Amino acid sequence: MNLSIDVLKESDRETSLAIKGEIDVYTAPKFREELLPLCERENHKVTVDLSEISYIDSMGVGVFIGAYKAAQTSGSEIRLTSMTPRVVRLFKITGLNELMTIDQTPKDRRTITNGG
Amino acid sequence: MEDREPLDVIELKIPAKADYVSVVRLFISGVANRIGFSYDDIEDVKVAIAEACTNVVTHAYPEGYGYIHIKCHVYGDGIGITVKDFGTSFDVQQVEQDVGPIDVKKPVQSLEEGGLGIHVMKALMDRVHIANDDGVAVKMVKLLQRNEVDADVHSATETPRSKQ
Repeated sequence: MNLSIDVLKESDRETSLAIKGEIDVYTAPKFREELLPLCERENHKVTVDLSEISYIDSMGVGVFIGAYKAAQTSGSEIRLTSMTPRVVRLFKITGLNELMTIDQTPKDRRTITNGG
Repeated sequence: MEDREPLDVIELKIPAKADYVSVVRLFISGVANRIGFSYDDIEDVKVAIAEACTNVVTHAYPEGYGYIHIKCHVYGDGIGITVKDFGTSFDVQQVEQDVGPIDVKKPVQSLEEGGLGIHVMKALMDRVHIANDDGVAVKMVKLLQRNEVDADVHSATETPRSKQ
């Protein structure tokens, strides 16, 4: 299985993504390439919906560490939403939950695409 | 467990390429399912073996083509997995010293994006042993948890498992 990245909403001030599939050594480079430039924009708010992530390991955690660093540097914000228990487990093991907020609230995608 | 004869031995040899790490996960998922591991334990084993394979893919063969050799020892009460390469060795002691979760006290810019793989393996498996052996060999053990009494016995006698 691969990783697909859907842009749900994009404006000057914020970008919402939904990613689907597996984040591992094969898919992480492509994901990093997409995510980091968004986090490097100044005062940008990036939201990533993780509800359809079926697999993540330390390579995925690494991408989010990089994104977090980039956002901190550029005064931007990265928010992860609808995290599955497997994603939360990896965040807790690696300690990334200490840096990034754990949000497990299931999200109705229509509220994002239709702006509520 | 490792000093007993396994019930079965299953081997897989694949090119050390990122493309094939998901194939290893499918393979180990089938084996672990056959042994009777729970869904969560199967997912843990998949992540642990993928971490070992990722290390081979990213570090073992910097200048050429190589293979990942995977050997599963099936026991009545668990599984032993060896992930081995014949590539570049590393200073195991030094690496083991640096293993740990993200240090949130560090300044943000000095946070590293890599180097968490071994820590993750150790958190997910009951035993992890890394050795230089004409390349690197990672040996891991995951025990079946038949009930909570067993689980308590294991957590008291084995490497502590990360409680989530």
